Parts: sequence; C-alpha cells; structure tokens
Amino acid sequence: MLNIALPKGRLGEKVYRLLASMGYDCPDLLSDTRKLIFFNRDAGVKYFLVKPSDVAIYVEYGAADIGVVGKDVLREGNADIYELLDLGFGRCRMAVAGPREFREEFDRPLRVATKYPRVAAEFYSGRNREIEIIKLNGSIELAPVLALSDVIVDIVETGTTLRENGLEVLEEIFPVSARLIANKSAYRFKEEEILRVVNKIKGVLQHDSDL
Amino acid sequence: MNSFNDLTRDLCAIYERAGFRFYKMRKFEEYSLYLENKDFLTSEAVITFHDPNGKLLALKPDVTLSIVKNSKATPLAGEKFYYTESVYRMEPRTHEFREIHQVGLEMLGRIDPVATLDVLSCALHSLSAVSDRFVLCLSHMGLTAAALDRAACGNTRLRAELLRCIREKNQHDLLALCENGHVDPAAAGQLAALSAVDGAVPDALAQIRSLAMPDTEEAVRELQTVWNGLHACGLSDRVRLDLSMMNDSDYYNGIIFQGYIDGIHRHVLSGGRYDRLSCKFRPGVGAMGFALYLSDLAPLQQSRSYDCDLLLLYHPDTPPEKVLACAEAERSRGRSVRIEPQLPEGLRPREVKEVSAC
Repeated sequence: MLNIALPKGRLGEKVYRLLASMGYDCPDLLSDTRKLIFFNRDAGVKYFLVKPSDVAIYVEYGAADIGVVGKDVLREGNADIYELLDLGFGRCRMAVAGPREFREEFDRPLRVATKYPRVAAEFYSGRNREIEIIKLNGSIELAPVLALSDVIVDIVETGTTLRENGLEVLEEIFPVSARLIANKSAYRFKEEEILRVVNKIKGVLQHDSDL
Repeated sequence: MNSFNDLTRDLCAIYERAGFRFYKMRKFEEYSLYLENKDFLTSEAVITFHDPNGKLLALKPDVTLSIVKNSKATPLAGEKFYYTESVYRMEPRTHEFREIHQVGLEMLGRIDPVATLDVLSCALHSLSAVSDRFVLCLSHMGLTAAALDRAACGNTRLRAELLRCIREKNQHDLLALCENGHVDPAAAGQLAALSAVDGAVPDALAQIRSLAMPDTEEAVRELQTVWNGLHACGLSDRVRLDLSMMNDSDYYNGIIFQGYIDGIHRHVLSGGRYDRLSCKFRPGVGAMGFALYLSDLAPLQQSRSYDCDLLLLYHPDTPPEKVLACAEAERSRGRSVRIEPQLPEGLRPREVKEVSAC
C-alpha cells in the first residue's frame, strides 16, 4: 500500500486526477465529504488530504510515503526528503519585489517582508547583505506600500497584484512548481511502487509536452 | 524488537565478538575541541557551561571526536573501540536540544579491505539485531565528490546547491543549476549520471563503469572488493549502492554508509571512513566507524497494554513475609509483580490477585 499526501485545494485535485488516470483512483476523494483519508485497496493506494504547508512534514516523518508540494513550501521547510520529479503544475517564481524605481540604501539593513523567512535569509546571506525580516502571513504586497518594509520576498505568478500595488519584480530567486517528493526510508522499502508512480507520471508529462 | 536494554546488550556482544574494546567517556569535553572541529559536527549548536575553574566545557554533541582525540593508535598498532553513549544535539526543525542515545564503534589504524569488511559486517549485524527488515546503503566519497568539485569549479555557492540536489535525488534542479551556472555540459552530465546511480551493487557498479570515467576506477575497485567479501560471507542481500548519499568531504573519504529499518522514517545507522579527521590528530592513522541511533528506534517498540503482569493486593494484617513469599513465587515464574495495599489510580495490571488467594 502506497501512502500519498496531497495538498487540499486545486493543486491536490489536479494531482489526484493525474494519479487516478494512471490507475490510482479513489472516487470518494472528489466527493463532497469531510473525510481526510481515502483508500483503494485494489489499486494499493491510500490518500491523505493535508494542509499544503504540511505535506513535506507528513512525508519527512514517514506518515506518507510520497506527496506533492510546491517548491516554495519545500525550500522554506527544508525537509529531509527525496525530490523525485518536477510536475510542472502551478508554475510561478520566488522573487524579490519592491516599489517601481526602488533604490536600495546600503548604509542600513534591508527590511524584507515575507511569508518565507528561511528563503529570504538564505538568499541575502548568500550576498552577505544584512537584512531585517518581517514575517507576515498574507497581503505581503501591502508592506512596502505602507513603508513597513523596503522589499518583499514572495511568489509571483502573473505579477498583476504587484502592478496594481505599484510594485515590480526586482530579482528572481528560483522558479516554483509542484514537486513529487518521497520519504527517504520508504524509498528503500517501497522503491518499486514509488518508481512505478514516478515513471507513469513521467510518461504522462512527456506525452502532454509532445502534443 | 527487544527492549532497549536487551538490544544494547546484543549490540555490545556483537562488538565484543569482533574484538572491539568498550570505551567509557565523560559526558562533557572542553568546548575548544568542538570549536576547532565544528565542520565535523552536524550542528554548531552545543550546550556549554563553565567549570569552577572557569574552563569552558560542552556536553558531548559527538562521540567520534573524543575517541579520536584520545586514541594512541598508530598505522601499525591500531585500536578498536565500541561505546554506548548519549550525545546532545539541536534538532534542526524545533531548535531544541535533544539527548540521543547511540551505540557504535570506531576502528583506528590501518584501514585495509579486511578492516573495511569487518566494520561493515558489524554494521550489518547491528541492523539485523534491530529488525530483519533493513537495508544498508553504501556510497564512496571518491565518486560523486570528485564529479561535484569538477562541476562547481570552485564556486562554493553553486557547489552547496548542487550538493543539496544530489542528496535529494533532484535531477531536474541539478541540471537546471548546471545550465544556469554555465557548467561544462560534459561535467554536468557526468555529475547527473553518477548521482543517479542507486540499486543492487553489481548493477550499480556496472552502471558506473559504463560511464568510462577514469577517476572513478579506484573507488569502483574498492567497492567491488567490499561487495565480493560481503557476498562471499552471505552478508550482501540487503546492501545497495546509492551515490546520492554524501557526507562532508573535508573529513570523510572512501566508503560511507547508512542503514535504514522499515518503519523508521530516517536512517538509523550512519558511518564511514574518516581518515581526514583522524589524521588531524594522529598523522598517518586511518579511521572508520559508525553509530546506531537507539533513540530513533522508539517506534519499533510495542506499546505495553499493561503496567505489570500481576497486581498483588495485601491486607494490612497480612504478615509481610507471606506477602513477599507470594510475590517471589510469582516473580520466579517470570512475571512482573507489583505489591500494593489497594489498586493505585490509573494502574493497568494484567491480573489482580489478593495475597490470601496465594
């Protein structure tokens, strides 16, 4: 039995549809229910629906053998897992954004508002730049507008929200998309099952890109 | 799995039979030892305190450093030690210190193929003492590390990012990093191919040979010798080769390994060759060892349904010798017996009996 952690919401549904098309279906999962665990013994699969930011934790601690999670969450959580595949869904980028025509003052620490303190700290530490991190949980774009911070570090998809708030991308940090991850110990004992899923997904993604 | 006490006893017996001597050490060391060798530690965070003379001491975050520092081994007169010790390390996720009980061994002196096989067989027997569902993964620092250095070409930031990708088996980001970092395509291809090697040892070695990289030949020969030895002794069934496994190349060289137990979410045994560390203290002395993290085996222990097999209740007027005689009679049958005048709140005995019924 392969235990799979899926993020609740659109990404989880998209990944489930992909896995279901490959024979790992569990029809109850898309029904209107409050259940969080779904089995299909014949297909040898068990799904858990969890908060997107918790997927990597479920996988790292072995409650799930594999899972799907955004690269942004993965880098911020720094989980000790295998990252086996870039699914290419939900593409966006982790970026530094600030007011248009932003001019950085180097005689003081840079104030950075973000939901991703580890990502921001790593990025600026690589440049030996002293920063002050302001951890926020939402509406990050508001911070520079209200002078709470100089810049923000956040995921940017189309850039519309930034533009509408007078901000723009100053620098890209890394590209973000959904990743298939695996627990390191489960990989040792369920390698065949895990690689079967990986290879089937690769086949589907290759087929889609060939179209 | 047996209780921790039984398991520790079994593990010690394995190491005694292999001719290792028990090494007992203090719970603390001078902090300077860890400061000077901080790259060898998994975390720089150490619990420190001052002794009455003002000397800065630290609770041991590592056992190997203490043994290597105190060893008198020479290349011709080696030493073999085993230990059961606690180390104190910070959990990266919670940023809280944790006491980790570990059992392990260190071999110092001349590390030839026989010595390597000796250490690996002890590691395999250790895993086998824990569970029959285990896997030991081997790697060699001379393989992926050389390819990594070639690809990174002195760029430490790129090297760190590539290393993260290797450890995560993340081929997609590794290739993207190489492309964005203008890494020579041949070097990038070799790194990707080598770091993807994972499988049964004979197949994996054939895969490495097919890459026709001259600087991998020595490491492949060494791994082949080890594999032949383990196979000849019937110890090779659960051994795999996984080149995504990498330790710090400043200290480790040669063969490294990790052991996994089904049902435990991370590796429970870690070890390898660390000549670079031993040579810092004793030039020319090679070293190899491993540690098994007993604290991580807790999920394998069956939760106890009962606090004791028998709760023996006695009346205040019962002669004490009669109470004890009754308890001893039950204990001599291998049962755990708790004596109480009445049932303590919350206690879950398997059976309750009055002394008068004895």
